[in-house]
Amino acid sequence: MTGLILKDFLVLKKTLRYYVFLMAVYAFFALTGTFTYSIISGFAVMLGAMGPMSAFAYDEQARWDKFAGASPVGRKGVVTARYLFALILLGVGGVVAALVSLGVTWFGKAQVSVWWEPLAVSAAICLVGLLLDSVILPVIFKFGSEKSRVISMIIFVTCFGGMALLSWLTEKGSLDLSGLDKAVTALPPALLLAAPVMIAALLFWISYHISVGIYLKKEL
Amino acid sequence: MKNAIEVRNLTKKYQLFKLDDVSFTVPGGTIVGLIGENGAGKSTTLKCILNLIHRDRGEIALLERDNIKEERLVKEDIGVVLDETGFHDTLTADMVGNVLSRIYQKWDKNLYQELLKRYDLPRNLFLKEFSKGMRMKLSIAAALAHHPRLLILDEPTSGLDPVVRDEILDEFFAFIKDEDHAILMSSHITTDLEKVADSIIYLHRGKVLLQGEKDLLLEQYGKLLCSKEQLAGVDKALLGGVRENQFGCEALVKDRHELKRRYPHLTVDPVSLDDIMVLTVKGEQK
Repeated sequence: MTGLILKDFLVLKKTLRYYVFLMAVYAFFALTGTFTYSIISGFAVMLGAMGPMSAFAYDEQARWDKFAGASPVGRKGVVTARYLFALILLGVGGVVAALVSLGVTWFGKAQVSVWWEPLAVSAAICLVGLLLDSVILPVIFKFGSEKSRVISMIIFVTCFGGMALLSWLTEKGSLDLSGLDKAVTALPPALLLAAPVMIAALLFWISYHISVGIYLKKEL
Repeated sequence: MKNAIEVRNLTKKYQLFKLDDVSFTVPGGTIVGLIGENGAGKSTTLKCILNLIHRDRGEIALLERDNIKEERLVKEDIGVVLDETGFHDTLTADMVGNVLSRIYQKWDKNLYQELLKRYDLPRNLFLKEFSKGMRMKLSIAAALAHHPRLLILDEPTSGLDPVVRDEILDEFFAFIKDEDHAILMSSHITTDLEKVADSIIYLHRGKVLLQGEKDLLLEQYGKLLCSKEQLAGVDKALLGGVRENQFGCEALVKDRHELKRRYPHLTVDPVSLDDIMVLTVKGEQK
């Protein structure tokens, strides 16, 4: 299975290099105070979501699925490797984002209420990446990368559009979420921190099992 | 090892096609050729054997193990060459070796390097620069480098020039020298199978139409060239497909010695695997 993860990194070497370059550029601008540090965290999500999607596309182009299916790794191994690949990308992206965010705070280029606020923002955005992967990966395992592009776009637009709409409605005063806000802030801080992590991990785990189920049934 | 592959009553149904109750064996120490026209079920059969698609019915044993219950174990001993190589354009032969060494427990790095050298394949050139022949040789090197006991090959020589094909067939001969090894190979290029195969399985419209030792089949079958009037006088039980044209008739003879005995005045030529396929299909179309 490590062979499959290595293969993903080798195949995506050029793409990943490009991401690293872009992250370095944005990190520079974040450290100089030109851009907000949260942009780097956005890259972590993009890396975690786009990386596996590109890997699927390359595999389909090479007809790798049949070869992998005929090898001892088996179908479950293929799914496990792809989920681990997504986790590694999200982890690496998240760590880089956290380090840059801390640097930005250290150099006084960001206004934060507590020193660990950038870390919390990076972690929260990584969790969003985890949620996106949880939704996208089973879709791609089911429909393939080509058909899934449209479905993924719909999911992205619905998620982010929905959030933007909520935010706009709240700001405009058409929607009052203060009750929910109060209820959430009333929760114990430990639960407030742990709950999103646990929910995201649970969804990722459920998503993995759904993908295994889909891929076991798939005709390669 | 008695049989490297045992397929019993394999059935797989699609909307427009059915692989119907296919049974055959691939004995150890032999090369078995799978022939048939496009859409006859060759690839479906190989995919079922490799569990890439799910069969509706039947049993498959590979190296005396169930191909599904002991899938991971049995696939350690199988080398596979599919019609598309499966390796990405952005990899090099060395990278492929690196990846596969983490997939196959018995991966032999030295053997792989030796095969690359023998096939004259560059180690650090991206595969997008490889010709079709080079890609196929790489697939074969990758299939052999983990010391498999069974090779399953889907059209391994298609699209290759005669020189490369000959080199590849030599490699299969070398592999089969070990009695514990076996090869199942599908091919449209029946002349290749005439060179290397010990047995032939002819799939037609999802069914096994013919199977047996290649030399016996070629010895037993024949091609009758005669007029329509002469053909009318021949016992139909002795004939397979018939093709008529303006000059006369060509007919596949199932037992040429028997036909020669009963009709000594008729000319029966030796037959090739191509003739068997063409006459069967043409005869059916008629």
